[in-house]
Amino acid sequence: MQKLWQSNFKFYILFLMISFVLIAGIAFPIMERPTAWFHYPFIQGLGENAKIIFFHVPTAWITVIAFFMSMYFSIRYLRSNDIFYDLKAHVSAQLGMIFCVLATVTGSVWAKFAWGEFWHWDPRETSIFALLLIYGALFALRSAIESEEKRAKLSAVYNILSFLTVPFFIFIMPRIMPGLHPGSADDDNAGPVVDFKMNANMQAVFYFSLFSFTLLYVWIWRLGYKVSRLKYLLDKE
Amino acid sequence: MDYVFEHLNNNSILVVLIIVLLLWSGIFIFLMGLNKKVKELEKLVSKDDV
Repeated sequence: MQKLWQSNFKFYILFLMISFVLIAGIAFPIMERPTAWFHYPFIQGLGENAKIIFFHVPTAWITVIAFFMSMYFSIRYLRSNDIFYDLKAHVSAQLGMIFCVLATVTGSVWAKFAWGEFWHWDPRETSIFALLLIYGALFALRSAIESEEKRAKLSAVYNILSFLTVPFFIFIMPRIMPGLHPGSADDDNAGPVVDFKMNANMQAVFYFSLFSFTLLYVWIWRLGYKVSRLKYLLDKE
Repeated sequence: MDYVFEHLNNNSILVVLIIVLLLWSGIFIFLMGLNKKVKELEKLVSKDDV
């Protein structure tokens, strides 16, 4: 069993999991009255656009996890001064940035079909844009400092301060301000979607998607860290 | 030709699905290749350490 786990078997399982999410998220039909196990219910105000939830929410979820892990490794770096924690934090911040861009793009495509335009400066859109700028500045900071120790220390402090804004921008601000996004303060149409509007089948695919994307993040993060670590060790030699 | 366009129009969701699955397969193959290379390099680096 251990040999099986150490082989590439787990990656093929992940491939099948994500493939299933893609097939279920794109091809399963939305019906007024669901009769089969693969039918999704029609959600008033969302219609066919509801399928974006299987990709947009997991990418936003991974953004939060990646930035949280980046902050965690930054704290570990400041406590231990171990440069490998800085590499771990950096790789996680890079992944967080990639998934943040994906969440913005998927949200923007959804906005085009739901609200008529790609961008509205809705509180949710504005907050994710601010988040992209904040973390973009982290990479600018890192590339501007040549001293390895100074770069690691400064970016760790900046990383911790940056993460303090994440709960505010992702969870608080878009919910207390009126806006177009489901779940905003004056939303009386579509939200909360997950708890009340989905049937069991849709919820199962949604949570399965969250789980699969989380595993994908873990795999890419480990791979990214190994590459950074090898690069660091080879540069040192 | 009209038949082809009509067929694609009626099955656009399947066309999108095939494109997305091909993209995901490409990303997966790239990651597996990278994983293999990293394992080989790790072996080399650990041998050098010994």
